[in-house]
Amino acid sequence: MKALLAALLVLLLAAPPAAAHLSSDSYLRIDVSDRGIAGQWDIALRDLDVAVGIDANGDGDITWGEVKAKRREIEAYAFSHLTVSGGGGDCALSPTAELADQHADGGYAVLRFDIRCPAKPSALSLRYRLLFDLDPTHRGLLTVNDHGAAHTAILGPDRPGYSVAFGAGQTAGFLSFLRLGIEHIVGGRDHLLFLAVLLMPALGHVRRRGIWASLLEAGTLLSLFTAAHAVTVTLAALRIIEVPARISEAAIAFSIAVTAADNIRPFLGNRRGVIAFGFGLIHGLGFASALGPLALRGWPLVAALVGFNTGIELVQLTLALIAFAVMFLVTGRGIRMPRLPAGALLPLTSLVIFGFSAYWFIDRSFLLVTLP
Amino acid sequence: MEQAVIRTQAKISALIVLAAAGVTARQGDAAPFVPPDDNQVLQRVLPSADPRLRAIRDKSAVLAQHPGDLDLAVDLAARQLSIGVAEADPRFVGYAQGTLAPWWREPEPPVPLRVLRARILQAQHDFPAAKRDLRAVLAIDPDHVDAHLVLAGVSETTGDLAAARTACDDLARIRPTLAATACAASVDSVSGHAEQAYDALEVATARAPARDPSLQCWALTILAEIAQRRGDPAADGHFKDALAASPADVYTLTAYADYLLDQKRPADVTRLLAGKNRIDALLLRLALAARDSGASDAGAYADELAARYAAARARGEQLHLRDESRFELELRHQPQRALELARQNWEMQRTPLDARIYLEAATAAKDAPSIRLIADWTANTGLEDRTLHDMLAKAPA
Repeated sequence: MKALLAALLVLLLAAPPAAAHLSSDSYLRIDVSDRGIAGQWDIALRDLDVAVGIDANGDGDITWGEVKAKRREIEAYAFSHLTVSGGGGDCALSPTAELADQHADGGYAVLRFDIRCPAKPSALSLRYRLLFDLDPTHRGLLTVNDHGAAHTAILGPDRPGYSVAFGAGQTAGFLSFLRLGIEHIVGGRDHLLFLAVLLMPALGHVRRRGIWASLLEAGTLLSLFTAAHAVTVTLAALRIIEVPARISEAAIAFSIAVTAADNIRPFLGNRRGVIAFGFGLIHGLGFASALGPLALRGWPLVAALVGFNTGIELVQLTLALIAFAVMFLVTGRGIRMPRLPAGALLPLTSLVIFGFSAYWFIDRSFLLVTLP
Repeated sequence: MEQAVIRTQAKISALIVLAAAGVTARQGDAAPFVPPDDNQVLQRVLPSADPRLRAIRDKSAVLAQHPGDLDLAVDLAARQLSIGVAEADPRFVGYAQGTLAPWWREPEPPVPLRVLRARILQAQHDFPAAKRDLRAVLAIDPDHVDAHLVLAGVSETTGDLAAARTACDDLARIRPTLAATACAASVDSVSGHAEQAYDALEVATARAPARDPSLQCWALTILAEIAQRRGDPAADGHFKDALAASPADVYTLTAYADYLLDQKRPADVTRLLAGKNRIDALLLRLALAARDSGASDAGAYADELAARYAAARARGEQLHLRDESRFELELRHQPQRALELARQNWEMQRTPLDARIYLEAATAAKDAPSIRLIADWTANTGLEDRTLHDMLAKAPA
């Protein structure tokens, strides 16, 4: 039995891999660490065979022996089609090892090399020209790993260059995710509506209780909401939890309906903080679907998540402040809603929002159960 | 006793988690290695004795001496493209584009080059750009047979059936051959005239077997697909005749495999496609056949497919949307993801096959608007497709 297994294993290892027919890619990875800058470049053997000719005996089988025999030609070809500059000039690319690997579309030669620049660089610029003359659809998939922060780019004939400044990764990541968070909440009808019904009561008695007490109440609710959705956004981005969008969408509609109902006929008492937190968890699932699973690790991941959640919180606070300012001015000048008792405004708007959200909830959960 | 059971369970779960972690790590970061044996084969390529490859090599060498020779470049690129299409290999399509590089961005290149550029763009699924080139060619040369033929194909793929029919009519006016008949039959069969289309094409293929086996294969495949959509068992024979004319035709192999899968004949699919798993479309059919017959390699096929789709996605390529949607739906059981892909695919191409995967994904994802969209489209085109109609009858409107 063991012998049989061993024989099978040998067969499996010896069998030439089934190479897929995909477009031509190379994988270029540059690692920047305290010890220096090193590169690894995976280039498809099919492409190298066209460019420099590797299948020496022309039998259609590229063997490791044939790859080794052409190492000098392969390296000369590859490194004459890549320029790396930094530290005041072009950097020397010196090969350190040649290996093999299998990617989805077949066998690759793996070139490892050191990058030595005239001085210690604070930024690198790349110009990539591999194979573009033979196959303009070739792409170089670049990853620059700067002390754990990854920058990626797809290099093609129209965009052969890429520059990266070291250490800027986390700031840039933070800012771009901050923007994403802002965009998401501004375009998120459901979330804004929920916040509106959540804050309405505090908004309503701004005159009676004074602006600072009302602001404090609103700020607490908002912060609880943010803290909660930060938790679920993080869990979802790390793929620890996965909830289908149609379920979270229905739950979000439900949360609006419940909070609106409480505005009309209070039944939650002073547990609105709990509501803000609990429903914040659900809304976080909605935010997470906008963010998608993140292929980041370490500090860049932290920067991205903090940026995203901060963006959401900034917009929430800004809108709440505007709403309070308007409310304060309106009531402060004694402007009264015509023909409407002051106490009717909150239940009426809440009723309208309740109607909408109840309809969304039924519509969204109806799709869940009725269709086969 | 109970604690021991719990401990064992904990150990087993830990092992499963470790194994899963190991598998994902292996997929995520392939580890470079030094092969232990110099004779280990790392990659198969076309042998240098392959006559197609030899012609390409010889002509490339001449072109290198005469870099501005347009006729030679067009000849070479056409040969590269034909391997790319026949083997479903995007690299050869890329080589064809590379050969035409000096002229590729010209706004008004000479007619032969422009037709070829349109065919390359078609192979890269850039249908709008292909149409622009073909219309420009036909404005200069209204009797360009190839331009009409390619324009008919691109228009039909993108769901512009009126434009496709016009191109077929022009083709018949210039040269009433099997190609013109097949062209018209293909369009008519999806716009409410399947029976007449079938009869006309059946007569034409029987009367005048084309000297060109690829043309014969193409016409017979259209005939088989019409029969398949009408639920006519003659489809099987037509597919077989098509493959007899051109045994390696990827489109026909794919279509026949789909037919066999529908007919619950997975073993025939496995036999038909044995050794052809380097082509993504065929690997997907092999994976589906393995699943249907309960074969143990179904999971390995699915993992391999996932890796290839991921590689294509990494470079931002969208050549696989229809197949990837089917993969997500049938092998990964992710109806939402499948629906998203089917929707993107629908933006690019609209054939009965595209409608079918869209409807299947929409039904699985319980997306009523998408189901209605396909129902309306089917009603508006007058498409006669038994499978699609059966599915629509069962789907909630």
